[in-house]
Amino acid sequence: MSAMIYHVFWPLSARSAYDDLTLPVVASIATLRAVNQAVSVYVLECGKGRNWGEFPEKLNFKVVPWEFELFKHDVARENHTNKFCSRVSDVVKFADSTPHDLILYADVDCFWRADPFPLEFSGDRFCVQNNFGFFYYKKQPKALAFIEAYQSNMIHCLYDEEYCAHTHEVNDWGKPQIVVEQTIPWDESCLAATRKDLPNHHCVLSSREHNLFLIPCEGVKMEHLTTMEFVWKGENLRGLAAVVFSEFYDLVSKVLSQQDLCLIYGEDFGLFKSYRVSYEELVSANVLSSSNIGVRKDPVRLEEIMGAIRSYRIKMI
Amino acid sequence: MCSASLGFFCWMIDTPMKPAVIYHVFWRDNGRDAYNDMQVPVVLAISTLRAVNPTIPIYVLECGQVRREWSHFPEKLHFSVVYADFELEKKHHAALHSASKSSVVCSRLSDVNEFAKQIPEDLIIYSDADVFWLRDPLPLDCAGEKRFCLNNNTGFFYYDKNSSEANWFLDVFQSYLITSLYNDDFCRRAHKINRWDTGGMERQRMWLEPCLQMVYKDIPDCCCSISKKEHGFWGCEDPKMFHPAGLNVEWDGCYHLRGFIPFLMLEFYHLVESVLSESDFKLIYRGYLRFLRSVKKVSFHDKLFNIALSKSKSGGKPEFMSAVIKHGGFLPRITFL
Repeated sequence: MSAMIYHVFWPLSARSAYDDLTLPVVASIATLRAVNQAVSVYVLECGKGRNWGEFPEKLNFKVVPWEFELFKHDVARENHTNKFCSRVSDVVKFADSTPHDLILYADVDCFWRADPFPLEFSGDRFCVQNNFGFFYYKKQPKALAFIEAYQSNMIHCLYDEEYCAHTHEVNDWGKPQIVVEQTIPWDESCLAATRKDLPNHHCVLSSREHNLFLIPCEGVKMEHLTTMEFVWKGENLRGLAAVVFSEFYDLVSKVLSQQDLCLIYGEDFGLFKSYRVSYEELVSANVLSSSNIGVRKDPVRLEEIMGAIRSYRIKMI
Repeated sequence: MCSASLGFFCWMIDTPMKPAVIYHVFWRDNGRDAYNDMQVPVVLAISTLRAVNPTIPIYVLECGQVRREWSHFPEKLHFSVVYADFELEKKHHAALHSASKSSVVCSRLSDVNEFAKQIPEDLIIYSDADVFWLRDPLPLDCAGEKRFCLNNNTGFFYYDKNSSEANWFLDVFQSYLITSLYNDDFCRRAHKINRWDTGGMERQRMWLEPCLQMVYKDIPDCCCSISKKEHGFWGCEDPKMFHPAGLNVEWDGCYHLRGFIPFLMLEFYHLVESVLSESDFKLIYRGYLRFLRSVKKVSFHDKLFNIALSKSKSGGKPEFMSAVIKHGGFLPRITFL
């Protein structure tokens, strides 16, 4: 029995859960449901809840009100970034309360192109890359040892600045710009430290299973669009990926009606549709090559994508 | 507020916490019984506690794979033996058993805390198997304290199991301990700042006290420091109990025979004698009994004995047996036959 768990906390705005394109959890679940109807899907909604409309019933997922596990430590409340740092503990704690033995987690900006199953690894070890956007594990000794060691590192970092700095030093993925100090914990730095100390307790996912750098690869199952910025009217609307790229649009339109999509994308839906292009083609034509994308400090922006699409089309003509 | 809810409120604040003492033992497979292992003298420790407090609930967590015979002592001294697994071992078996790095001793706080959740008592008192009581531990010095109560050594501590502050400490301490299990650099750093003697232990080895020191350093207000009087080591004045950590007790090539202490020290002997019979002594001390009876008992308060002890050293630590014999010597043969 497997479960896919999402984890969201909302910024202060009056939006509904489904039309916040900065955190496109409904669009992400729609791509998942188009490729897999069997896996149980849960969304841990931390903090103040939002209106989900009819999407939980329509896409067969459950929304679970949740409190940040890491906030049991008062000191964690001092930094907004610790909300991100709490996600693994939140997922693991919730998973412990369910009968599912295989637990998968995906970020809200992970868009599925193919069924995640069968997975590449059994999950007996904790399966992850250097980014926490997607991971899975079975409730088996090695995976659980890895998780507990990771959680210990995380709590440790809240209190021991020297140890926290050590975790950043071993993190070759690099901490994001929001983590400005070496003394502020970051989950992926703790992950890097845990991977270093427990090399035999984890497996490294391939780009086929978690494509983080938009690397063109055969049979890719999921694209994690964290390295793209879909800036539109001053906001990073990653949810646009599901309408701008035809691969995702073809999937979401299988499980959502045009009326649903209008609810999610609002008045600009028609405009977004007009920009639609094949993601695969763009990648193959080297328009979205990984060298253009770099790491998160230098993301690809929607304007560039649109420009690329336009010039690509002109070239095609 | 109506009278019924006022009554309930008063009951809430007046109800004293229910204490329980928990011991934590694990055995080597060397053929001994639980009651006659002089290196882990848990039955003698409980005897001193029963002599000063006849009613407090006592639980012994017998952890690990090796089980031992307890004879009639659980009934006689009114304590329960509970089999338990090492909590740390459940997830970190391989790391915990890597010979050079760690020990199941480090599972102590986790095991006690996990077991504490299953019992009705809420004031959890932990005592090492070599802690001998001179007076009733109750009332505790820090009664009513919400923080975790201990000093530099984890051989004795107590806490309110429902207190968020105490659980906070346990959570952080546990996280430091697990980090030290896998991260050699952190382990070395912890040993570097540790002021508690770890017996020349390798600096890459995970251990309770160095982790505790790190927690103290990073979160100085996380626990309530108990006095030396309440957790007494050698040289403390008028302690409630004596914990011979840091004291060697050697005889006939055997080390750490701490079970000799309650027989050879007058204050403890009077206490254990009040709860154990002659046949109990024979069961507990077996082949050592004749020898121990030949030695003159010493007093905790005897200044000359204390001087003898401070001068008798073995491996840099005070050596109890040579000080006892040097100070009191042997009795005339007729008195112990």
